[in-house]
Amino acid sequence: MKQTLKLSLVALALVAGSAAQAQSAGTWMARVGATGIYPQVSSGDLSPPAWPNTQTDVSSDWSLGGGITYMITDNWSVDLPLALPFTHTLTGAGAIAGVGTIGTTKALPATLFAQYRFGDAKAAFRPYLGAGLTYAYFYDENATNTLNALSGGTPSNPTTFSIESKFALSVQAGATYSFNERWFLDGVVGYTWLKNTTTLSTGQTQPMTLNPVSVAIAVGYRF
Amino acid sequence: MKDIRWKLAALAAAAIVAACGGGETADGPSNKVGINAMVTFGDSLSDIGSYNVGSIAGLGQATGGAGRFTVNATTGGQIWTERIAALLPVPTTCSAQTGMYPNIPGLVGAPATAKANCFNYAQGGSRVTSPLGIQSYLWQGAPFNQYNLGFTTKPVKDQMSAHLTASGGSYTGKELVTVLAGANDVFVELGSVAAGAQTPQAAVTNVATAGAELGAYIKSMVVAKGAKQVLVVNMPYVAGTPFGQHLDAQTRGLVDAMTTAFNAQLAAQLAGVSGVILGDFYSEFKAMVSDPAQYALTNVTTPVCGPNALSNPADAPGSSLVCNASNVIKGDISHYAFADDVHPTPYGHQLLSQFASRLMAQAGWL
Repeated sequence: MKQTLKLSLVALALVAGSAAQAQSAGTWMARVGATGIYPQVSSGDLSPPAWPNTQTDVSSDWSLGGGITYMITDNWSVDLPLALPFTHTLTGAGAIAGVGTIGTTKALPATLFAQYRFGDAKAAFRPYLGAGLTYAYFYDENATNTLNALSGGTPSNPTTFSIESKFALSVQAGATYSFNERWFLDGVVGYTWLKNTTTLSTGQTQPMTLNPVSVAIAVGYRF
Repeated sequence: MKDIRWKLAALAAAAIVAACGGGETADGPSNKVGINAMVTFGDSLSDIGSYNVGSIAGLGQATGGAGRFTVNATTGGQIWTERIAALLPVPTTCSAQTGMYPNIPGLVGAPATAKANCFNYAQGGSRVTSPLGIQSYLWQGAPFNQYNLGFTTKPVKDQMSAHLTASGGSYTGKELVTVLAGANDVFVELGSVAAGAQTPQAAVTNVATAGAELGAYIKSMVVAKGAKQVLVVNMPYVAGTPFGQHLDAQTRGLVDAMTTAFNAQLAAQLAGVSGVILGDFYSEFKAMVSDPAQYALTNVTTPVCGPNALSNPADAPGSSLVCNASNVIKGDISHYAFADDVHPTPYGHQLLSQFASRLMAQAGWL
C-alpha cells in the first residue's frame, strides 16, 4: 500500500511535465513518504532494586511519513512533519543483556520547524536547514512477560512501565528537488536532543538519552 | 490533487486515533520453548509443603499458614519455583510426597504418602545422596537417639529416581526441571566436625563429593532421560546467612570452603552439558548481602520469624516451617532477607526467582 502510493506519486511526477518551479512566499506544500527514527541510545542504570548496570536499548522504526510546509518568505518557511506512530522495541542491555525484548512503546514525535531554504525560489534544487521544538509523545507502553519475571512481578500484578513524554530541541538539514512546478522530492535528516526517564510500576526509574536521528524521504506537491 | 489532500487528512486522522489509544499494558505469562510442566528437586529452599501435615498443618490453619520454609501465608506462592511456575505458565504443582515422623512429645506427623501428578520432590532437610538429612527421622533411632521433627529428607538422588518411576522412565522435554541442593550436606558435615567425628578437611572432601554426585545425577537421571530445560542453582553463600554470620571465623571459613568446593565440583560436572543452565546464586547472594540497598533489602542479618510453636526454648526464634504473619517480629519486615537462620523471606525468594528468570531469558527459554 505504502509502496503503491509512493510509486504512483513518482509516476505522476514524471508525466506531469516541467514548468516554472517556485517555493515562493505564500506557497503551501504537502508531502508523503517514509520516515525512520534511529534512537542513539545511551542508557542510564535502572535504580534499585535492580542488578547493578541494568540497562535498556531501543530499536529504530520506519513509518509512513510526510509533512506540510508553508513558505513565509521566499526563503523562510515553517514545516510540520507528520507520520504514523512509530513502534520501538526495548531490549535488555548491560546486566540484562541477552534477555531479549522487555517491552514495546509507540512514539509520536510532533515537531514544528522553522526552516531557511537556500537559493532562489525557482531553483530546482534547494537545500535547507531547520530548527524546531519537538514534543516526543510516548504511549501504549507494553511490558513483556520477561520484564515481569525479571522485575519480580506476578501474572496478577504484572510490572508495567511508562516512558516520559517530553519537549526537546531538534535540528535538521535537507533538500528539495523540483521535478516541475508542482511535484518535488524532499529528503531530510534530523537530530533531536531527547533525554527522558522510564518508570516501572515497581518504582524503579531509568534515565535514558535517546537523541534520535530521523531520516525522511517524501514526494511533495506544491499548491 | 484532491487525492493527495484526502490522503494527508487520513494520515493525520490515523495519527490522532492512534494517539488516543494510549495506556500501559503487560503481556500475560508465556515462555518461548513450549514448557508445559515443572519438576523440582532439592531441599527446603524449594519445598512447598512436604511436611504440611499433622501438627504442622494444624498450626498453619490455626495461626495463618505453615508448611513452607519462609514466612508462610494461608495461600501459597512464596517459594521461588512457584513464582516461576506462574510466569511460564505451568500448572501449579504440589509436593510429590507428604508426611513426617516427629518424635517430639505433642507433635503429630503423618505417614509418608506419594501424591500422584505432583512433581515438586524437594523436601526440607534433604541432602544430595545421603538419607541422613537435617531433622531426619533416621536420627531418632540408635545410636543417635535424637528427638526431632522426623523429616523424611528424601535425598535428591532418590527424588530423581521417584520421578522417573512416576513418569515412565523419561522426560517429555517440555518440562522445566529445577535443582537446588547441597546446604544440608554442609550442615550435617559441619555437625560431624563439631562432634569431633571427622576432620575439617574430611568434611570439605565429603561435601565436594556431594557436589560432583549432584552433577552426575543431573546428567544421568535428568538430561540423559530427555529433559531439555534444566535450571540448576548452585549452593548459596551459606556463610552469609544469619547462621553463618554467628559462627566463629574459623568455622565460618570452613562453611565457605565446603560451599565453594561443592559448587566447583557441580560446575565441573555440568560444564558444557546441553540443556542445563547453572546459576551462580552463590555469587548473586554474596552481592546481595554485601550491597543490600541495591536489591532493596533493608536487613540481611535479622531473621523475621519470632518465637513460635516449634521454638526450643519457647522464647527463641522458631523454625520458619510454621512462621507466618502472626509470629514474626514487629516492624516493616517486607524487605528483610531472612525468615530464620538459613531460609529466605518471600522477598528473598522473589529475588531468587528474578535471578533465575534472568538466566532463563538469556537462554531464550523465557
